[in-house]
Amino acid sequence: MIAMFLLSLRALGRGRRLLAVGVLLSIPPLLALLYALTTTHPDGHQFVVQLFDNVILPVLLPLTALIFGTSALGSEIEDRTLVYLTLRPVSRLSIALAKWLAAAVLTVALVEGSLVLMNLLGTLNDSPGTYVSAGGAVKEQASVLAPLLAAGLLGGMAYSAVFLVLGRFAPKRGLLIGLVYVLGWEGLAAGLSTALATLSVRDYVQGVLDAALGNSPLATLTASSLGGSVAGIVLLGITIGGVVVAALSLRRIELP
Amino acid sequence: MALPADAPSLAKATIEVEGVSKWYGDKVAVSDLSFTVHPGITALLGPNGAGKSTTLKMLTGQLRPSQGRVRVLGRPVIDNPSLYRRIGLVPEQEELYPFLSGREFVELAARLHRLPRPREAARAALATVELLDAQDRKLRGYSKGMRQRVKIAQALVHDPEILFLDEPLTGADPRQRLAMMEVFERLGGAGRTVLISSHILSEVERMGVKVLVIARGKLAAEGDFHQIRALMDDHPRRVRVQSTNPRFLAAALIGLAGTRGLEIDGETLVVETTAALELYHALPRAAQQGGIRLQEITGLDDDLESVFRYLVG
Amino acid sequence: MNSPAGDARIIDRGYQHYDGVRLGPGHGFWVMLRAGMERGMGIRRPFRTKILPWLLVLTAIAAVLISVGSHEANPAGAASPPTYPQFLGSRAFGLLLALFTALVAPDLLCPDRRERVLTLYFAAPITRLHYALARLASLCLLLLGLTLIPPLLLFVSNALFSDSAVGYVRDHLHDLGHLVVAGLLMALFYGVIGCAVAGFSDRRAVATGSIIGVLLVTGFAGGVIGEGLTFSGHQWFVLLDLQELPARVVRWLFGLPPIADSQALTPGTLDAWAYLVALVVVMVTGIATLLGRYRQGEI
Repeated sequence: MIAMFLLSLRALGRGRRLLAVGVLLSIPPLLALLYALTTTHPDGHQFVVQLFDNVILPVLLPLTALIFGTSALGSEIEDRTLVYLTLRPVSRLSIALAKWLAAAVLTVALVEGSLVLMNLLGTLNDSPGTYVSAGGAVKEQASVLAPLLAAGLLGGMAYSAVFLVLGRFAPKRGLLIGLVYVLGWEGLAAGLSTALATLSVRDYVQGVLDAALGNSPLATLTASSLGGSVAGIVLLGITIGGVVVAALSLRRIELP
Repeated sequence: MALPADAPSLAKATIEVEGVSKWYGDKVAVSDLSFTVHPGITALLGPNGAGKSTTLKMLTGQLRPSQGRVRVLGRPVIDNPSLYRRIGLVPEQEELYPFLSGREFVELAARLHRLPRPREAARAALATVELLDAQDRKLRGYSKGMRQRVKIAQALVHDPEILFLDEPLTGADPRQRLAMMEVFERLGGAGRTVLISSHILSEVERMGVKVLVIARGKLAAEGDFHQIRALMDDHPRRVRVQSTNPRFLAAALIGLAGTRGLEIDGETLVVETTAALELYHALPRAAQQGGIRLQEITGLDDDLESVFRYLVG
Repeated sequence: MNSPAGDARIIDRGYQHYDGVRLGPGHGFWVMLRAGMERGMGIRRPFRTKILPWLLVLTAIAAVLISVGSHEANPAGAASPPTYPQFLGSRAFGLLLALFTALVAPDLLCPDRRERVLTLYFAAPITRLHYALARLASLCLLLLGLTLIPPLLLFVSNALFSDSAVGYVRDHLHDLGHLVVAGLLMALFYGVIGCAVAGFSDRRAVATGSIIGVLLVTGFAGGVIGEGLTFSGHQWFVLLDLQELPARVVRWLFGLPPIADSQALTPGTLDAWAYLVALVVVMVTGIATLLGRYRQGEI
């Protein structure tokens, strides 16, 4: 399985794809830096969480996972090279697992890197020890990095699994269908009712972030209806389920 | 399934196909194929669109038959990844992993087959296909012939009992083709089962193999192609005779019951007959009677291409 | 073989040179235009190519029908249907247009490049200019369907549900005019952006991702810097947000300030002229990029 994992890592991580994703994910740190340098009384922590809520979570995280996830199996199917993996005495599960792992590692590494940079640059000019909340009161500072990283990790893993399956079944149109899901479904439809929100990965990631921020007043910035541990378990379940579905589907795949 | 009476080697059949059909919606690609393949070289022949590739892909598990059964080495090939330890495939498609070198590609195959010493196995396979000097170049820079050879290398690296080759000779220059065929012949001679799907009839013919002819999705003929030709008595044989007096021969041969036609061009006489043996008996007699010297007698369509054309055309 | 001449004649000599009427490159333009529109909507192609584009169109139409219908059924409970600038400028509508563009523009431009048939096109009497403009026109006409039909449907249903249909039309004739202009503008805007970006790639997936990427990146940068930060001159960065440009110009068309008061986050926002100029600049740059891409030497 390691050989397949390394192969997929090389296949996914080469050339312009990596560059494009890198460029996209460098935007939040740049915006955070701009904020820290140009605001008179910056509240970096709040800005950083807002950036996560409005830029990374709704778009950049799922988009990164989409780009790597759909390609993991999708491009092998389209390029007709999957036969060099399936006609070997290896279990279909190990193929699916290797593919998912490669996509997830790339997604999580890039997103977490962006989060770390964003947090570092955004809080550069924060007054140490305390920050001024929106209400004007002076509050105790709490690092938001760990909650952000937790949300990014679980979200990256879950999205990668979902898009792995998408790429398996729709190798040509997977990217576009994924965009419709991320921007259309999770962006608009799921906001319409809490019932629909159960079908939205984003909501669970938000729940994890919420719970991880704990008693910090920043938690009120995010809006989720779910408890943190439930959300985390659901995300892990989605991840495992996605890999299993991909593995089972590889047993029945036809490679004309 | 009842065993035919005259099939003593059936016990050694490595590939068994029973009533296999494949359809896509309304379109039938392959219909009711039944045959067995034994160790040695077997050629799968057929025109484009006949169903050769579909058939081969069902034998390797890349496609599932819509109906019927495929057994390889006595076991079903579907849902049986461990069977791939003993099977090698050279697929028809050209695409490879452009960012890998030849060596890395074959080593990957060796690792996936859990060989104890993948580097050495890969090296040996690359040596067999004469790619050692180009092994560190990326696959994206390989020529067509080199791609074919590296595909053969990855199929051989684990020393499989059965080797499937889907159009393996395309893109190879004549010298490479000869080298490759030597490899196939060696494997076939060593008791492996080699199934080659090919268009290049002259090369297949040279290997003197058993053929399976597929046309329009059905099995048109199987066996040694000389014997197949002998069975085709509705196609008159054409025999060319070079002699010192073709007209005399023509006059003598036209009286034979099997003669269907005669053509004279200079010193060459071409006879069309449905009774070749009768012709071969009559020729020397006629020549002796006329005091004629026979310089050359050639069967014009006792070759694979003619057989193929008759079956498929 | 001799045969007397006289009344013998040869009827069919097989392949011959064509001597009839030739319709010229202008006609070629219309042929390509129509072919592009058919390709974009999956007409005369397998069913699965029709799913996504038609789904997007039907979603827009359904949104209008649902909002009008639910209001008429329950005037007190359901929200009233959106006004025209609200509809055209909404984020949902912008998303729909973006997705449609990201779906169709690569379909029109990328396969020709990938399959290397551009040389075949240019071997016929079709200039590179014709080709690029025909593709652009196909996309814009398809987008026009999206930007005109749902708003017109809204207009018609408003008229039907008002006290006097004729009276409504008479009173809101100017709105109708604005609708048409707005629709044209938005279709052209998205079409230009889509073609300009898609012209650079031969893989559809890459082009799709790039179109969405460009719109998103400019959206973030413009939104966050323009409205979130506070250094002097920051409000000019709002012009980076490409999707907002047509939305705000449309509001201005309808005689409203470019940003609804409820949405304004910082004071000192830009004048309507700035958005209009930026819009025009983007479109001109886009067309120039597209033409430049197809004019360059090797294809």
